[in-house]
Amino acid sequence: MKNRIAALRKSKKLSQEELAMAVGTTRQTITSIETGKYTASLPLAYKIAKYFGLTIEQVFIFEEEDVV
Amino acid sequence: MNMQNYRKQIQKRIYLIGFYGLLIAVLSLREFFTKRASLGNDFYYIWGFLIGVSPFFFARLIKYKKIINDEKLLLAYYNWEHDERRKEIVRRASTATFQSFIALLVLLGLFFPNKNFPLLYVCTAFVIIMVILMLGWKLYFKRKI
Repeated sequence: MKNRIAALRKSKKLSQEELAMAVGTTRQTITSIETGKYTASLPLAYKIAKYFGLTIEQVFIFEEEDVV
Repeated sequence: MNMQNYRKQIQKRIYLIGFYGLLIAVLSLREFFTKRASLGNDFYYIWGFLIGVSPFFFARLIKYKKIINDEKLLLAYYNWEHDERRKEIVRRASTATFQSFIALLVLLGLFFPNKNFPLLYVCTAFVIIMVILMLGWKLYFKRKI
């Protein structure tokens, strides 16, 4: 699943580590989500979106091919 | 979880590892004084097992001692322990380990149907194989997800 986390993080001048600490996860997880290797769970997606003051749909881009 | 509660939980883990250390010390003394250590003696194997897995527990003890008084490290450790990707890696690696272990058993049965080994050696070999498989699968899934 594509997302805008990297862009949003850079616009706020945040490191992956800082974002991870803020949303209660690890830097490795943020890296994996940003690169699209890992799809965040709903609670984590919600936390990330809330942190940026956006909705989940504004952060995560859902595409039909994401449905397995 | 409240960080204060988590700190208490870490403190309890430290006490548990301390108890484990005490157990090793008592068993070692008993081993030394009673000279019960001999191959084939059950006690010998229990003691050996406790000594064998002790580096893992003592590494944890050092880690816990390090993080317990540092708020930032404690939060980072809490995040690591509750990290959903890490849990997913463990879940996938466990399933893959179980499946590959079963496949290995079937293959061993096919290629060495008449081989007999002492049960203890078989159990030890299985544990070692499972640990190696688990590590391998964990590395694989860490790269994949």
